[in-house]
Amino acid sequence: MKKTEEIQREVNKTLDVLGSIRKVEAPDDIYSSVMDRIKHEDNEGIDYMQFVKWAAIGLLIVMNAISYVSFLNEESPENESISSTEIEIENLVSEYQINAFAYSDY
Amino acid sequence: MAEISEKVLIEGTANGDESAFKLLVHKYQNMVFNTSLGFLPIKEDAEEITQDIFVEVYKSINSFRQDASLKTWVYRITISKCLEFQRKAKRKKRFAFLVSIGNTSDTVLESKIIDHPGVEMEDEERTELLYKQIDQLPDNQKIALVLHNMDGMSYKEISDTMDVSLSSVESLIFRAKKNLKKKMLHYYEHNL
Repeated sequence: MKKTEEIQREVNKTLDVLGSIRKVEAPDDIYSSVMDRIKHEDNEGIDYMQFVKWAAIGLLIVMNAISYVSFLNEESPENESISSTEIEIENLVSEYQINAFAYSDY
Repeated sequence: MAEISEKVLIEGTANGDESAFKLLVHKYQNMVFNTSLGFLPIKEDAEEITQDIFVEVYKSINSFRQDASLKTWVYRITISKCLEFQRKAKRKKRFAFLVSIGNTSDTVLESKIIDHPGVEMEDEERTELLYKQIDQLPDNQKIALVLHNMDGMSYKEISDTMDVSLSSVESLIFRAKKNLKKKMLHYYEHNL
């Protein structure tokens, strides 16, 4: 019984401490420390933004290069006209050779 | 100094006006620091978390919808940062414990549990026990108890801050005190 009372007393004493904790003043340099951190993080942010910017430019260059190469590989209308001109020239040459050959018979 | 309206502080800070932000910090720094000490009773930790909170306030002031007062919003950030800090500290503690199992040396460093500038020296032992027991309460009970018993907030203010009804706040504080008492009884039954 005595022990129970003693326990109860200790519990109450400890719970009373909860209401006796004093409020204190915050350190004076909170604002300056916060601003230092914000400015430091901003600088890191700029570096990160630069990295993102250059990565985007690099990606753009690579993508342009890829599309240019694939454009060259495609058969464009100009290529088609060149090849048809080539065929015409070949035909003319062949015709000329045949004629020349035929003429040589005379 | 004349009282400057919340609106001026919010808009000024959002527009990058450092003097407005300075006033905002000065207005709420004691509140934030003392609430932080309510969760983290080590002065250095409370200072670090107070800085974290104001950095967060500065960064996210543009997203503040003003559906609550600036004070309530700062309180919400404070609570969330303190709980996050506690979770990280617990993870670190668990990791340190695992490392110490493999460590054959007897000199395992015990981290400080309490260094609260508002606690009298003769109460330190009891305060340390109190904080250990409060730390084991569920988060919502812990928040309600700290805000009411350490910060002296009214039930209405707690209900706004936690975004719960008044009856929920009453119930949370009642259960928190009951659980705390139970834990204390259990402790003294085995340690007296």
